[in-house]
Amino acid sequence: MSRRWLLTPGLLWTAAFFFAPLVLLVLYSFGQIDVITFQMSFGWTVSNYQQLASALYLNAALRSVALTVAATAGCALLGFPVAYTISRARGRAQTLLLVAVIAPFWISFVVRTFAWINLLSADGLVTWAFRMLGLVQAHGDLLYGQGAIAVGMLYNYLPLMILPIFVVLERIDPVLLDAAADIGLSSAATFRRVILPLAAPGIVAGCLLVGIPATGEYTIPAILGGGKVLMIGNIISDQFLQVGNYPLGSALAAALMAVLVVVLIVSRRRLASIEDVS
Amino acid sequence: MANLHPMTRRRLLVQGARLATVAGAAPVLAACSSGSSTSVSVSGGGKLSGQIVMVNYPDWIGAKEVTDFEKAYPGVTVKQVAEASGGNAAQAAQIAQNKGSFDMALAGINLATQLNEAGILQAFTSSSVPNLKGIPSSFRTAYPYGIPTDQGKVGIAYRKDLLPNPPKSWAAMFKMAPSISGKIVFSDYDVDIMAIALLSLGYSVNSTSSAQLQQAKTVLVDVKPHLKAFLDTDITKPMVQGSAVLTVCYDYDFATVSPSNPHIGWIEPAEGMPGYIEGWVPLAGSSKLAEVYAFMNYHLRPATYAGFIDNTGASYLLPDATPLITKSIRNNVALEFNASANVKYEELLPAATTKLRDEIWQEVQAA
Repeated sequence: MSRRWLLTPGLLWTAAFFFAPLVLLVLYSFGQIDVITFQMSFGWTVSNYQQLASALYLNAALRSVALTVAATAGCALLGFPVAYTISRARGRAQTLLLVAVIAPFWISFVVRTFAWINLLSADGLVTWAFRMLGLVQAHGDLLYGQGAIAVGMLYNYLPLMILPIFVVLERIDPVLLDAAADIGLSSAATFRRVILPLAAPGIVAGCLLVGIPATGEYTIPAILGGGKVLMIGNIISDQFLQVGNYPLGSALAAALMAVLVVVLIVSRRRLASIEDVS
Repeated sequence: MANLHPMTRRRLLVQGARLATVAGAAPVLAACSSGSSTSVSVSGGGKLSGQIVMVNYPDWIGAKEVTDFEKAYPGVTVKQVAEASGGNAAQAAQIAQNKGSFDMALAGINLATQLNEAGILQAFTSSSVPNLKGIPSSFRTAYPYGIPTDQGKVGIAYRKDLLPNPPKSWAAMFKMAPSISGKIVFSDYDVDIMAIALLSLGYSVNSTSSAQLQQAKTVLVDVKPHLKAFLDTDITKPMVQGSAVLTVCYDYDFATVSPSNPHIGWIEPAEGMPGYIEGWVPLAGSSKLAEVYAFMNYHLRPATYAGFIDNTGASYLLPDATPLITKSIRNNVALEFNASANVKYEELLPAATTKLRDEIWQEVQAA
């Protein structure tokens, strides 16, 4: 039997449970629905896509992009030193640090996000610390708003940034760092001219891993945003679960997916060029 | 303007034969349920058998209700399937996509109307549930698709110590908002929030007028900067902790925290309280209709019903159960039985209005 047959189960699975739903999603986006009786009609209208140009959806998309960029940049800034520290550690210390990064994934995403409600509430540890610094009033809290959403996104997505950066940093040959020292490069110059360029593929990969899911994020805004911050993921969720307007929800999801695919393709090309240079 | 969709009758002929079977069993069921003793129920239970599959909120039933029913009706079992979370659309989709798999469901009046419009409900024969007569006619009229089980009313909970002069009406609350800015929490249910804005303007909670809805949107957009959050879980927590002084919430939200927080008060605004009734409905395609009616009838026995209310802490509809219900519930100012309470029941609105309201709500959220 040809080895290609070994691919068949995986291909069938992907076709049935990935491509077929995607095709269905796109088909639905050209239909219309009676939100009372759920009767679909396929007149192949583009009205759902035309609605996406309204200020409501554009603003929500822009807000999502802004929060995603902020969260991704924050994850990169916080994640790089952590990844570097782990890559420099050896033996059991490195294992422990890696487990510390991975351990939160053993808990449900939703539960982890809800945990922040307690930390940011009036009685929470984080709020208490800010109150001690005089940054929060008595009875005040840090919940509900773009700040709380940003904290939630940073926390939940940080491991996705740390791990790919750690992998590339771990592969850097120590000889290169020794050579940089031998030619008199300072620590800062070594970081800028040796470590950072070599870590670039990991940073780009981390940005993709964080940025793509963060753009469509709706759980964190729903829990920590207090319903006051409307992101594109929340609109899609509402259209499917609350209103039952599947065609509009599908159009929103398909458009978001198309944008992300373009971003992914461009990023992949950029990543390939960086790796070639490296 | 109220806009309750009339019950469709397109399935009536198809279901006639099935219902005739049930009608034959009705006198037996009536005998089973008219008395409160188990022995009477068991004698009727011999004619019933099989498994009832019920779509229900997790644990939204009396603690021993299912086991007691199964003892009273040997041969009949009840399997509960968790109702989809996320809202009416998700719940309707769950039932519609599994048509024939479920025998009955818990449904708010809007969901029940929606299911009826979609032809997913079995026509309800009230005479097959004799204990239904214990529910006041106003609730039965408002919930014609099955047995009404409980209701929810939206009012104002507030901190007596931090807000000594609370608003007595929705209009007063919106007017007061700037003075307690950042310390107000609203429910995250668009229908209710649109309803309180409409009531504050003197309009119906079921308004379909675009002009009135736009005015309500203006009220909500104006108040939004003063809100702490729209919450759907732990809605009273900020108020208990003191970071909020006023919460627009359901009666059961208030009742949950009021026993241990005597400084929290409850106000029924002068314009009325938006509310819903929910109940149990029989679903189309069920082959266990007789068993479903028996279960419904059993649910409305005062002792059984009291167990349901004790477990759920919902606002109750069966006055005969009052003495059997836990004192903390029957004496709670928000939950105590009051058939004349000024509740404005929300109804399922036409598709165009539903879409318009959704757009308005999203504009409020995005504002």
